[in-house]
Formats: sequence, structure tokens, C-alpha cells
Amino acid sequence: MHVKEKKDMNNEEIIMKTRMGKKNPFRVPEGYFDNLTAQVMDRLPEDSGKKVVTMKPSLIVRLRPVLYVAACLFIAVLSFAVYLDKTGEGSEEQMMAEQVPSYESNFEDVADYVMVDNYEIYACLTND
Amino acid sequence: MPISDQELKQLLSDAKTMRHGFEMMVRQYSEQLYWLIRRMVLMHEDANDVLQNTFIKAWNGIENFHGDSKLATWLSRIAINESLDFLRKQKNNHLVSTDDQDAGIAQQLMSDDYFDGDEVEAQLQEAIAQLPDVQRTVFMLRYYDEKKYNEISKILGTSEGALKASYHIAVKKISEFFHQHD
Repeated sequence: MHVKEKKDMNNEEIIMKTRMGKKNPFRVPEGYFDNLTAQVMDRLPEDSGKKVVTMKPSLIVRLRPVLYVAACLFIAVLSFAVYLDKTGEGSEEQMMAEQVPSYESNFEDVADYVMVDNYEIYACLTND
Repeated sequence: MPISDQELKQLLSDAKTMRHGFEMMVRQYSEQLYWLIRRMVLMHEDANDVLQNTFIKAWNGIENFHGDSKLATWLSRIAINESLDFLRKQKNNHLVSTDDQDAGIAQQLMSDDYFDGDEVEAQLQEAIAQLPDVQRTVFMLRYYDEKKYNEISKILGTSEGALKASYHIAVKKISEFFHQHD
């Protein structure tokens, strides 16, 4: 609502309250409210059966199962994440260990292919 | 001595104390509900009938109340629905047109033993009666009962924005009534 509209609204409400007030022009027969409760209760059926107000449990009680499940899931996810983190380091080492033998075996295959012995390799490496 | 909502709900949730609790609830809220209804339906006899029907409906539907709102809110909702149903039936039953019916309200009130207002007040009630049902209800709850919009929202199940708009329009229309009678 714009400021002018709010101001107009407030003015109109003020005028209304000034002119109208909150006077109650209605009235009731004498003693009406004194007898009202008894009249109402007399009109009610004798027994409403087994119907009663069924109180809903408080919000926290209703949410408790959901919170339990959420907590369990959180712990499970956290544990799995920790597990993955630890096994991840092991697998890297394992991969490196696998690579070394394959590297070594490849070198040996090459060395056999060129029919070069260890003395000659050493000599080659130390030669300027 | 007023009894707390919590105590009333406790009494109403036990089959042994339910009737006693209901009686205490009637004693506690009947006058408040009566005036809410009376301002809608205008005549005392009609208000009395609607009020009795309200409590019968509350009794028959007691298992539908789950204690998650105030008792006053729940009862007010029933009372307003009963009042609006009454007004709709009244409109359908009248053989004259709507305009003629509204024009007769001021005259009906002036001849009513339980109306103490003057002619201007009677005409004002007629102006309020000409408001659409929802606007009229919102106006009554806001202006006369001074309820906050969030309370009215819980009673009527309408958004606060829509309620403010309804009230704004109602105030404008009633202000026009005063301008016409100046």
C-alpha cells in the first residue's frame, strides 16, 4: 500500500471511529446470559458417544521420529565419508605398489630386448 | 473465574469430564460468541438460534478439534460459518429483491425491541449489512472485536494481505455512507 493510500486509510478510519465509535446499539433480554449455558446444555445430546478432543502431541514430539532418522542418516553418512577417506589413502599406495612392479617388469623386458647387461647399463649411465 | 484453554482442553479430552468441560467452555465463550453473531445477523432471536446451533455443531464435531488452535478461534470459526449460512438462507427465503431487503434493515431495526440505536445508527447497520459477507465479517472482527490480522487469518483461513484489502474496502464504503449523510 502506498504512503498516501495508508494516510487516506488512516484518515478514513479516524473519521469512522469519531463518527461511529464502538457503541453497541444492540441489547439482550434481561437475564439472557444467566440462563444461556443451561439452555445450551439442555439441547445437547446426552452422550456424544466416545468422541472426545484428541490432543495432537506437541511439535517436538511429533518430529521426534523424523529427527531420529535424520540423526542416524547423518551418522551413517559421516561414518561412510570417514571410511572412504581412510581407504582412499590405502588405495593410492596400492596403486603405486602395482605401478612399480609393472615399471620394473617393463624395464626388464626392454633390457632383454636390447640384450644389454647390467655392466653395460652402468657404464652408459656414468659415461660423460 | 476464567479457566485456561489448557485446562479446558484437558477436560474435553477425557470422556468422563468432557460434558463438564464443555459446559465450562459454553459459560466462558457464549457471550463473546453471541455478540460476534449478533452483529452479523442483527436480530436477537436469530442470534440466539445461531449461537445454539454453533454449540451443537461444536459438540457433535468435538473430535475434530485437535487442540492445535485456541478454543476461541475454533468456536469463532464455527460461529461465523453458521452466521453466514443463516444469512444466505435468509436471502434465499426472501421473496423481494436484495436491494429491497437491505433497504428494510434500518426499518426492521428501528422497530426491534432489542435495538437501542437511533435512525442514523440503524442506517449504519444497513450500510454494514450491504457489504459482501467476507468484507462484513472482516470488518466486524477488526473494527468491533479489535482482533489482529493474524488472529483473523486463523479464524477465516485467509491470508493477512487479503484481509487487509477487505478491511480497507469496507472502511472506504462505510466512510462513503457518512459522506452521504452529512
